[in-house]
Amino acid sequence: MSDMSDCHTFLDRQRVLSEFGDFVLDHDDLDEILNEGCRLVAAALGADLAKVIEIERQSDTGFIRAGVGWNPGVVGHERISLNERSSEAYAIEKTEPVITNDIAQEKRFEFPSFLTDHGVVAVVNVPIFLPGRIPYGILQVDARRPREFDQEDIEFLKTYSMVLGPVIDRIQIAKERRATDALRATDLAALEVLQRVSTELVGEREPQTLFDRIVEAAASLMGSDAASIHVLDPATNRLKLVAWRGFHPDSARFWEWMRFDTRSSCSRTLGTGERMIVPDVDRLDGRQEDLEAYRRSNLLSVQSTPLKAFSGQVVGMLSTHWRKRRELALDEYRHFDVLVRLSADLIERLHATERLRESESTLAAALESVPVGVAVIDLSGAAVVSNAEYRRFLPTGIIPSQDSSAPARWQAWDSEGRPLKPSNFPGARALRGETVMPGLEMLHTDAAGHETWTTVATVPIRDEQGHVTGAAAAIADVDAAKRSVEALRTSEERLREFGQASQDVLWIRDAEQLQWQYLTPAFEAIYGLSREEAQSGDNFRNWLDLIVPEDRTRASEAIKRVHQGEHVTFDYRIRRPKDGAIRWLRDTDFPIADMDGKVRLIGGVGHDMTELRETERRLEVLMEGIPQLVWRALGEGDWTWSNPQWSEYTGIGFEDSKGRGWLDAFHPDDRATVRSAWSAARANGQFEVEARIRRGRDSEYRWFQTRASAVRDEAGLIVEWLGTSTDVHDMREMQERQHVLVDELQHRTRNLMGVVRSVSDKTARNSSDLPEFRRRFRDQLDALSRVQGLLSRLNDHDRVTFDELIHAELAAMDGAADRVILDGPKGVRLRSSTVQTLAMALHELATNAVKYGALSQPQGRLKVDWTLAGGTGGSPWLHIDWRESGVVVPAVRPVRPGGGQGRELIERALPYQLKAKTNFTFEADGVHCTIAIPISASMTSSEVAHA
Amino acid sequence: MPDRSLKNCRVLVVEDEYILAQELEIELQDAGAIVVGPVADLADAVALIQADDGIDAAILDANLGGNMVFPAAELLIEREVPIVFTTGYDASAIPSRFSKVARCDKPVSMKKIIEAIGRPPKG
Repeated sequence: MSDMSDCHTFLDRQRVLSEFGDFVLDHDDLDEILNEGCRLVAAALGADLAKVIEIERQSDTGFIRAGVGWNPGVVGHERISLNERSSEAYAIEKTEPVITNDIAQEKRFEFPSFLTDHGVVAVVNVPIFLPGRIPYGILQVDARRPREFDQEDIEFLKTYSMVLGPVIDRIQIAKERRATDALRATDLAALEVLQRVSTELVGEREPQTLFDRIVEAAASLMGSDAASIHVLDPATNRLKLVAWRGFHPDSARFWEWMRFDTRSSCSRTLGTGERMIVPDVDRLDGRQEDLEAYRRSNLLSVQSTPLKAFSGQVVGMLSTHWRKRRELALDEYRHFDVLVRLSADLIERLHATERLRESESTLAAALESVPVGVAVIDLSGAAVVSNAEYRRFLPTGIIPSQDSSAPARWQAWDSEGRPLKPSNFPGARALRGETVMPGLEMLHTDAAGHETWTTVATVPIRDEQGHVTGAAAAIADVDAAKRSVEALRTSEERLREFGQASQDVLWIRDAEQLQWQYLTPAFEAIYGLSREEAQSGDNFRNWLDLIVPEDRTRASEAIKRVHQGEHVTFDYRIRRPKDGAIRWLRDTDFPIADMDGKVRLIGGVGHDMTELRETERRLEVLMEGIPQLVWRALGEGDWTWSNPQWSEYTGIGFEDSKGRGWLDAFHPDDRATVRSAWSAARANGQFEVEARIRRGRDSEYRWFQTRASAVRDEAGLIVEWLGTSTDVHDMREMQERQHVLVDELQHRTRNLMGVVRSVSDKTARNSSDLPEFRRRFRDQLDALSRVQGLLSRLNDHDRVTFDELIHAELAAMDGAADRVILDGPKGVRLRSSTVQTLAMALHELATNAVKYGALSQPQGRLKVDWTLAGGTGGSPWLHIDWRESGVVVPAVRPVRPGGGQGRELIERALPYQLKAKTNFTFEADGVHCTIAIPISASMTSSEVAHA
Repeated sequence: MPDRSLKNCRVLVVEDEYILAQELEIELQDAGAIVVGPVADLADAVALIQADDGIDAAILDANLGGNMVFPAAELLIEREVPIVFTTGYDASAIPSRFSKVARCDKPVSMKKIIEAIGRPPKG
């Protein structure tokens, strides 16, 4: 080169540096500056190509950071290896330019292919150092023609490189500062977010608002498109989506409940307790529904971070989601993780609050349910915690000593009955450090003036240093208990008065030693012994000694049974020491047990039965002397006594008869009647029944009228029943027979009336005048009355016999007996129903005989024969033969007034009524009449045989 | 109300007392009735009832010489023949199953008999 050209060259190169300096001053983008630098240096050296290679230490590569003349795809893209065969690495190592004038001839280095692709032949590498000789990279100038870079070129490049170093350094520093500033601004924003959120979280906001703010903050801190928070539901051990943003509602519904065991991405987070990062859900091997949920919300990338309680338990999950693929550096979770911590704390606090609230409400419920007023009071005496029962007594919640309005409502007394000042009430004492247990009885008067007895107990509450900080108070309503104690005292007092006044001996013994603790004055009257005497020494033994020896064991046994818990009533006799008199006593003794059921005391009522026993005894003697069966009963026929006659008659001893045993003697068909009579007896106060009782001797059931009357006490209550059973069997039979007889009599009488009426009619028809009627009618009535006379003296078993009938009829015909012959057996008994008609027929025959026949003429004779003969069918027949003889019959028989009546009776009435066979004829010397009557077999008595 | 009547009725009379039976017969005939019987005992009454299905009404003495007339009464009731008991007994002597049967105390009155068993007037 010529000087001139050298001078030119030098000036040009000076200008290049100057231009570059200007450029640098106006620009601060490193790439722009480096590219301009390359352009200027290439131009200055007359080369087509230049570039700046930046060392990348991690990968030992050089990055083509800037350049000029290169095809697209090299600058900002290509990297070259900085290995031992690299010219660039060599230059950096040597810290001076390295020149290769012809690549083809170069043996030391290998060159990247893109150089040869660009036709590069010669290369010069100049290292660029930052201040402090820190290698930054290489300034490389590439020539497409072989050339020799001279010393000036090298110097220029070195100078240029030395300028580049500080420029790069400055720009890098500026850039780093800007980056740091930006980062700081981001951090600041994040911290602001966090600070705001954390302030809100400790505030008293609704949990939902807080969750919404957390989600908002998470999205903001992570720059995400969506965010969500799940919170553990302790009851189900599942996570519930409590807040979200950026989700499609369907996705939100899908993710609403998360379980630890499902295979969703989020569940895995929960399972492992680690953050789950899914840069691209499409590549996730997850459930189809899960993926679908992401797609529905148009989300591709997700991270889920577990929210852990202090214990390590997962209590929730905070997730952020992006629409694009996203993978954050660990560093980028810094602020988010703080939010995670805050959120976990919040959830834990909410859970704790919830638990506290629950336990408080449980405690409150428990407090409310106790029947005692309970409160914790502070030093001012005001209730910090109290239940309704407490407030019932202290509506203001302030203890009386501190509440000017209250003292009048409360009264308490010391052991000597002096009123206590409020300052000595239990509340005040507790606040002074005293424990008032088991409490003080206090009388409370409410606003309405109603008084209530209470027991108030208090205990001071102390802090760790032992200073009293408050007190616990309990007010128990003991009113009912106290009043019942009062009532008991009153009733005991009354009992005592009662005992003093009672004619019965009331006493109480202790159950162990059996010594009297209580003995009423009646003892002295009954036993004839002062109580002082009786109660001296072993008074149980003394008492036993008063009892007659025969009854002593029984009395002693009875007391033993009471000791074992039984109620016992027993009778015994004592011999009074004063006069030797025997007295009958009945003791009703009973155990008195304590709360545990152990018999502590034995109570007794001794009743002097002596008078009663004597009366009873007299009564029994009386009862045993009478012919009736007498008995006594309780309740509904529970026999307690029966006289010996009962057992004698029925053959059933008293032991078997007592209670309801007597019922066995009654006829089985009558027992129900007897029982129901007893059921009705109490209401009626009277028992009466007719029933059959078996006679033991012959097992015959005989009718008895059994009656009982209630024996009442002075109050009108039934004490017992006194009953008799009287044999009414014969009377009953008589009554029955009488009934039959009355019926029969009625029947006969009415029939007779009919007959009389009929006879009178007929007689009237057949009489010519009244005197004749009177005579005939009277005659017929006489006949009827004779028959009735015969019938009326009969009883059921007796019968009118035919001989009686014929004698009676003929006897009525005065003075003709010597002309009459009667011949036949005696004792042929006639049925009552046949007697009347037969008698009427015989009467007609006799009347006619007296008027017109055998008995109307001196020579006339009458013979009546009767025989008994067997008829057909086995029934005997009575054959009667009425034969008149020696009668002078007029040629013309006079028409007998009423004569048709007799024949009608014989020829028609007897066959009709008695099934008789009759024949009536007028013989030459008188009437001949035969009558045959069937007689039932029983009507022929044995008398017939020998008649 | 027009009176009931026994005109041309065939009336069975069961009465053990001849005189009463006869009197009844006459009175019934006077009332225009045709008397069936009379019969005095139960066996005859039953036989007659079984033989004669043209009986329009019956007058039955309750007590036939110690036998009660009830078996005959049942036969007639079965045929729905109106009957009347004539009796000297209290009402208690008649079993309750005959509580609807008319009764006439002896001595009987024909007027009552006709009221009890007479035919109601036609129309």
